[in-house]
Amino acid sequence: MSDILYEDAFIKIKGDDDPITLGHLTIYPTQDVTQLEELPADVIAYMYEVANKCATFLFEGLKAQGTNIILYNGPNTHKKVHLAVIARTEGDGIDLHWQPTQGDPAKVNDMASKLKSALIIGEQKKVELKAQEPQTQKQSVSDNMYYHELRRLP
Amino acid sequence: MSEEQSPEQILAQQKEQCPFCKIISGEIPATKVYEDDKVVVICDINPLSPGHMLVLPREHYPLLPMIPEDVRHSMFEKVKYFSKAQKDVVVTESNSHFVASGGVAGQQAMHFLLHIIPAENETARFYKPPIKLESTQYNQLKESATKYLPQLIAQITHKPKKTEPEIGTEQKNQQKTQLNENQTEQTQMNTSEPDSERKKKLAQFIESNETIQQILKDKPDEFAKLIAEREDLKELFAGIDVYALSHKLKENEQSLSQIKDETKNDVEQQKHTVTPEQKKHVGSLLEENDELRNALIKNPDEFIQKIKGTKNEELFVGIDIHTLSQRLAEAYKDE
Repeated sequence: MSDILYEDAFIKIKGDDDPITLGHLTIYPTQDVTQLEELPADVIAYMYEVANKCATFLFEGLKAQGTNIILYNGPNTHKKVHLAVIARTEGDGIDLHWQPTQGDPAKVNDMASKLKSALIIGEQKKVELKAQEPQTQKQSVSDNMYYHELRRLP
Repeated sequence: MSEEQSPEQILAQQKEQCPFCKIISGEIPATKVYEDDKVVVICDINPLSPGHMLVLPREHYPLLPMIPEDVRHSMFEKVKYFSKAQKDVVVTESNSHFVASGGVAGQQAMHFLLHIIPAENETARFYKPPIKLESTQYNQLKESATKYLPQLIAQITHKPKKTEPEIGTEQKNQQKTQLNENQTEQTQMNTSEPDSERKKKLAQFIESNETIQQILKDKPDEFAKLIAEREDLKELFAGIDVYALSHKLKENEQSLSQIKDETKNDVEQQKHTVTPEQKKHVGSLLEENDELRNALIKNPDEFIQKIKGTKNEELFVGIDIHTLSQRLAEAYKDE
């Protein structure tokens, strides 16, 4: 089950060894890491971009009605960092979601302010990142084939 | 939603009702932890575990493929920092990132959401029992995946820039060696082949001598002359393109400074950042103290030993003594 379906300098895609649905793809970075943060930011972005393309493939090629993208980051989730893209269909019997339960607002606020200060580095980074970005491509809404999916959304 | 509506109308209607658009605009109060022109990050008010974050595009896009690629790229390029911040604050080694596209996949919001959930225990692992695939099913999947995935992935315009792995500062010496080895490999082609033994020696030589590194990096012309003059260097650098090596070293320094930037929040790092005040202090000290200055110019290595344990040691923390020695030698060469 572990044939490589696609490979380039940064990632490889395999069929998952323990698929939970038909159409369960796994994206591994070429550099084996146990923590996502060891990878360059642009490789992480590329992994997600590739996940998006895998989801498109599952929609189009496998007639999936939905997809889940899950990134496993750290020893509590998996030995190696990887991204799973899972094709979903009506009545596949898989429930990955959780019942939302309201958190203690004081605790959420406290966590938010701590995260905010931890992300100051992120804002500094932003300046650099912005300079490299090209202009947003103008795209007509109707051109996007995914808009037929809109009616399926809750 | 009626079937007669155009996609634009459906989207406009969705956007109007979208609670996340209201959060982003500030209409609904929320705990924003980061925002820029493309991305907003908030804390989930219904966290699966404390520290649960939601990464949202600022604009209303219901599904991932509807987001323009440059917005997606900008969002996912920052995921590293969001994820790192969460691990630091929650004090955990693990988290899971989760996206649901479509009602059947459990998508509950009309706005694209990337969940980043601390995984301290079973709660955020997302493991489900595997199914058994028939070999025909698998072969079909394999056949169409190998056909279509390369076509789809070829459409991606934002490709990663470098293939060298990015690693922590504590491993930078290792990286240097690795890069030096690459350099010699690259330069093999035009001249005689350096054997691996010599390559190793060369890498060690460059790595251990900061002055050599500096000259090689800044003045490859002078270095080439130096090689021609000295027999031992001639032997070591035979078949090596000094200019290519110099270029590589510069690049290497840039990537190192990038790593440094990224770890600025590291307390360890902050301790060694040279402040303008510190530079001023060092400058006036060396100007006033002839003995100290001359010792520094004469032999930087001895100087380091000399200041060890004295109150001056603290003043020179983070300063490149060898470069300083060179600069002083140039400035005071007339005396």
